[in-house]
Amino acid sequence: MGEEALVWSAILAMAFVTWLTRVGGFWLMRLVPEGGFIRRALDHLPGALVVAILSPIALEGGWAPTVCIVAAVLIGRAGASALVAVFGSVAVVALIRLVV
Amino acid sequence: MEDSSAKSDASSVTFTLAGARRGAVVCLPLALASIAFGLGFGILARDTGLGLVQALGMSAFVFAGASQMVAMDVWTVPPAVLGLAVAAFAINIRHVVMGAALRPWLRDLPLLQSHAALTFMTDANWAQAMADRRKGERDAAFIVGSGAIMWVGWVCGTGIGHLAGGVIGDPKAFGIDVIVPAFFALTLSSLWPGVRRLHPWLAAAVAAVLAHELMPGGAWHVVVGGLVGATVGGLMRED
Repeated sequence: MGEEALVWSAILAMAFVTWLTRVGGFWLMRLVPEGGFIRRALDHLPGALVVAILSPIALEGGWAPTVCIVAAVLIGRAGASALVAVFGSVAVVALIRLVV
Repeated sequence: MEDSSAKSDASSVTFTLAGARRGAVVCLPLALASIAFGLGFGILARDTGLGLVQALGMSAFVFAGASQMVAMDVWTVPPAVLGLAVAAFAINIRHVVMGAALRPWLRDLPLLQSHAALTFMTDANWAQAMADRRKGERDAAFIVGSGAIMWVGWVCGTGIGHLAGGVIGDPKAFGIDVIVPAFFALTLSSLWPGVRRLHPWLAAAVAAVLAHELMPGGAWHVVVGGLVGATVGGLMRED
């Protein structure tokens, strides 16, 4: 195979396995009876997954993500829209970087 | 916690243009973040030696930022197809857990609709959709609309980054690297279960940090933390 063909094979192979991961969980759950334990676990899955994404970032990513997370939550809690909260907290970090 | 609404889920799930529009509007900040990350990927792809069309093709078809960045990291000429596919699978395995959580929502839809939603699922719009579902969102096209607008941002950003190359300065100066943590923090605050029901989150945090230490690279810590937290949640008594 030529190089161009190999590049496209790599792209399409990555695309295919990635798509499999996107639809895979939906199909795996067919094999699992829903209700009881599974339903409660699924209820808690979103929060747990987001916590799992965030905690290493907050712990090891230096001050910037932590400041940004706190700022986003505070601005959001103050009643601002998600757009304002996200870009407001990002602006806070950019500002601190500018000053420090 | 949500017993009454959980039982009426099946009958009330919809898939409409209005739902797609809601998703696109709510996730507009994410689309802007996608442009910024796309810029980063476009620059990286150009430095790695990918052509413009190849970089655009990868963003359009793979549509998973972290795995694409890693692919650029380990890219060779000619590329090692199998190795790249395995790496992409390892990093995107977290999607499997996310898709499992969508099952109750998508279960009763026609396959074309449920799979459209799954195809456009990314970490951030999934988290947003789950948070909005808790507030009563029942339209599965929400995921398609939010994912599609992020896809447009991601592909456009890739193209601009590849074309502009090094002309753009360090995106970190604008705080772009912290957009995603900020966004996740917001979805988290709307998923807040209350202090007395926090053990699933604590378990998830501890497990994720440990897994991150033991298995750096890939996204295993997300899978492990999510599953541990969900298991603790599943074992909790309902009240």
